[in-house]
Amino acid sequence: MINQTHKSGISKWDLEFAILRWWIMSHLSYNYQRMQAGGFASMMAPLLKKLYPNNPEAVKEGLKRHMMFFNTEPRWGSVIHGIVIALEEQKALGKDIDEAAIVDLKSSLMGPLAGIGDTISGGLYKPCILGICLGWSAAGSIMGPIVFAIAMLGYDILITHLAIRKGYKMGTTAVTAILEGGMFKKVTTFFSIMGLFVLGIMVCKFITIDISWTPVIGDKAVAVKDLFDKIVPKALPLIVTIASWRALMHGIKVVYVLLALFIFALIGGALGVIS
Amino acid sequence: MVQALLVAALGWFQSSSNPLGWWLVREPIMAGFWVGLIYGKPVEGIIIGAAINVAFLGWNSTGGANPSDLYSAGLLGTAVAIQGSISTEQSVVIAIALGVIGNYAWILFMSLNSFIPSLQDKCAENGNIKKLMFLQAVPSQFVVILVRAVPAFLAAYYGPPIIESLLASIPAWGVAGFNAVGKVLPALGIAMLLKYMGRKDLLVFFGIGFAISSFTGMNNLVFAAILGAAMGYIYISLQHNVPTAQISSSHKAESMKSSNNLYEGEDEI
Repeated sequence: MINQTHKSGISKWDLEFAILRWWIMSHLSYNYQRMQAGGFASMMAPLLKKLYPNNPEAVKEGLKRHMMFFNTEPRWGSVIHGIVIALEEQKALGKDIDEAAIVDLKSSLMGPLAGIGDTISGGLYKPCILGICLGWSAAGSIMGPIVFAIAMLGYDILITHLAIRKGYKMGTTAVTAILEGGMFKKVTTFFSIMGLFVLGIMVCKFITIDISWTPVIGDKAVAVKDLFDKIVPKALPLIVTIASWRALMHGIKVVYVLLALFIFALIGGALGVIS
Repeated sequence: MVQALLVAALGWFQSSSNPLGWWLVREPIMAGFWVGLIYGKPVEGIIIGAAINVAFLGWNSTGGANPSDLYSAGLLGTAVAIQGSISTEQSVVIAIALGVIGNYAWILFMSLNSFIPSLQDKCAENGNIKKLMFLQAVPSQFVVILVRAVPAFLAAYYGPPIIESLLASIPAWGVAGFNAVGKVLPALGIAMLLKYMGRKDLLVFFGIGFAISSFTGMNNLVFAAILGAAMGYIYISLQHNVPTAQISSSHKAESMKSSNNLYEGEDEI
């Protein structure tokens, strides 16, 4: 594929602008009807015009092809865009590529790549960055917002850029590299360990609830908190967290867990048992 | 008035659905800072934003089942809290309540935008590239202004006196209860993330983190991240040397499962 690319009208800069268009426009009109279809079509549109300078009918067909339902994670998922650009290029050069094959490729890859992308971006990378930055922010330091913005924007640009370029260069093999290679597993394991460790510390740092119950036994007031602290300090935050987590794991809806926590804390606080 | 208008502008920008809006204004950690800057209390803003953000740690990874909306919780929560003498704990509760209302703004945004692709189809048929891209970028901005910026202005301008009089009418035991709620709610954010990250074979690292912090009082998160990264690195490099056929197959099944869970919620970014 690489050797033939120079024959078509797509230059290095055309590809760079396509990346930029997707990066900025992917979700601008995000909607229930087609999700990111308009974003995909907007990315492809100028490229199609380059590929078919004298064939407006082919451009129209291409636009229709890319106005179909599409939804994936916009960073890792954009490896699909790279592959599709490469396929469209070959098609324009006269290779026998069925347009149904292009559509199929998009819809079959968007799901798995969304799974991978959401896991890494939303479930692992962002929480780890937040874990670091929230510590600064809680102390009122401007380092929190600054580092967060740089780390997230940089990640977003870098991954989108790499994914599209890789997809364009390697075609479908790029996906196999991501899906089958050991990289994904290593990345998720690494971030899971780091994230879980930081999370354990966040339980102590951010859940500031504690037992304030001091029943009077005989003529002596007993601070229950001190008894607990001798065994495991910060036991209540841990219990509340684990109880909520188990409830979520049993498929209880987040709204109900939220309500349960709300009622528990409201009553406990009002009675002066916790504060 | 000017300040409320600036909050409205933030409300538009954070929901304009592009990476600049997502990472510069959407997350409470960022929104808190900007709102603080608008009201001349950047440090308080950062602190309130961070407190709200903890309760939203698991947002985005639960797939459509978010009880409260990140956008309005961070922005409006800070905007209301910073104008009055509201404690950080109470502002978390207010933020989550405002976020519940904000969920409807998201649904409205996605629904109203659903008219756009039908118009874009016509452009595709006519080969009108410029108009197709125009439709992608511009009309939805008016939707955002309607469903996000206008409510943000109203909340920032009229919200504080209403919330303050509400708080003032609550008796002392109620305030104590309310404060306790604010102190407990971060547990939900952490639990949601735990559900997501908590692979059985790795849960021990959560335990180590908790034990270190609860017994020693160590709560420097940068130090924690460095330690965590080091442990992650050691773990991965050790895994190289053991036959991992079993581990990898069970993990594959697990990661497939979580992928499926995630994909159910298509309305997340």
